[in-house]
Amino acid sequence: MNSAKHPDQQQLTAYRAGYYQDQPARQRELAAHLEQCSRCTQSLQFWSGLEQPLGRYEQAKQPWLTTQLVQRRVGVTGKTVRRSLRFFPVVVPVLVSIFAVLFIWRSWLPVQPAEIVAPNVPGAVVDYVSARDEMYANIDFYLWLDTQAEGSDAATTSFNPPG
Amino acid sequence: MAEELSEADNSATTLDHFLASVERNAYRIAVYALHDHQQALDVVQDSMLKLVEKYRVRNPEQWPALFYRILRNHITDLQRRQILHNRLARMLSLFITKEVDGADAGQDLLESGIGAELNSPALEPERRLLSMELGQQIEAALACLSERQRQAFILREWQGMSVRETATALGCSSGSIKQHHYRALQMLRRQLTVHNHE
Repeated sequence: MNSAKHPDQQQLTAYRAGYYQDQPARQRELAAHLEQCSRCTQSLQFWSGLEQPLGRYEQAKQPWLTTQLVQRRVGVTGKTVRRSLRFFPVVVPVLVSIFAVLFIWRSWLPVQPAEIVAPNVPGAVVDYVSARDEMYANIDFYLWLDTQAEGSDAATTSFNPPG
Repeated sequence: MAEELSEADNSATTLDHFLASVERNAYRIAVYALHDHQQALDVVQDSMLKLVEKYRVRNPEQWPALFYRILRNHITDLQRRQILHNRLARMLSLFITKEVDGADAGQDLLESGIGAELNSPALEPERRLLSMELGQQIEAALACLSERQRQAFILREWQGMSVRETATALGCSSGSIKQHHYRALQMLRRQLTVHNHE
């Protein structure tokens, strides 16, 4: 590796800051150099590496800082979870009470008279019904017979059949 | 319902990871700008809360720029309030002899605790001391940067954001970000070199 070809610090800084993004040829050239040159790569990584000693220093100076930051963050994400479930405790009791009211309301409703549908009636019942209808069809005859019986008691023998 | 709950859990986990990755740098930006530890913590939490409330549904790739933009806006609001507060305090100091200087209070915080116990068992004492010294130098060097330079440096170098993302976060052009970043690197090199020569 030829050290004479190393870009100077100003060029490396400009590369790092993104000044060469508008000059693709120069950008490629420096990128190619950085792939091969560990010294220049280390020089660039120096900046991102500054965070570690600063972090250790901050940790030593303010050991409670990490805990406080975590507490704040957990407070925020905790609120997020609660927000996603915020309707849950309300919706469930409301649904349960709606179903309970519907159930009670239905059970207290008066039973509606069902429409009479031809049932599977046993034969004996059918005979009874037909006999009853036949009896009511001849009701006039029986009324007349009854009148006749009263008339015979009163000794009137005229016969006037109905019709 | 179960799917919704698991989706909410995943979303919360992703958010938590993201917030964990930005909280330290966000605190640094805030504490340097506001010079007050408690206010810095508050502003970081408020920014997190606003991101969660308003932009949680956005693509996670957009979160860094959005979060730092919210943070910057919060910091600007607080700085304006501090300026107003300082003006009022100055007016009051005409009647009350007690001197009020809000800006120096935060600087004391940054400089305080240097002699705090170094309780990192992972490092040997000499290395720990060197590391602490370097950390202190970095903190002092960062304090020398302008606010924009510091923000550009932290977001580009430590948060790993692109020029465009940083420009979105800080509300300025890409060219401006490159300039701030470049000047920040130059200034830091100068400051750290001076410290090392001392």
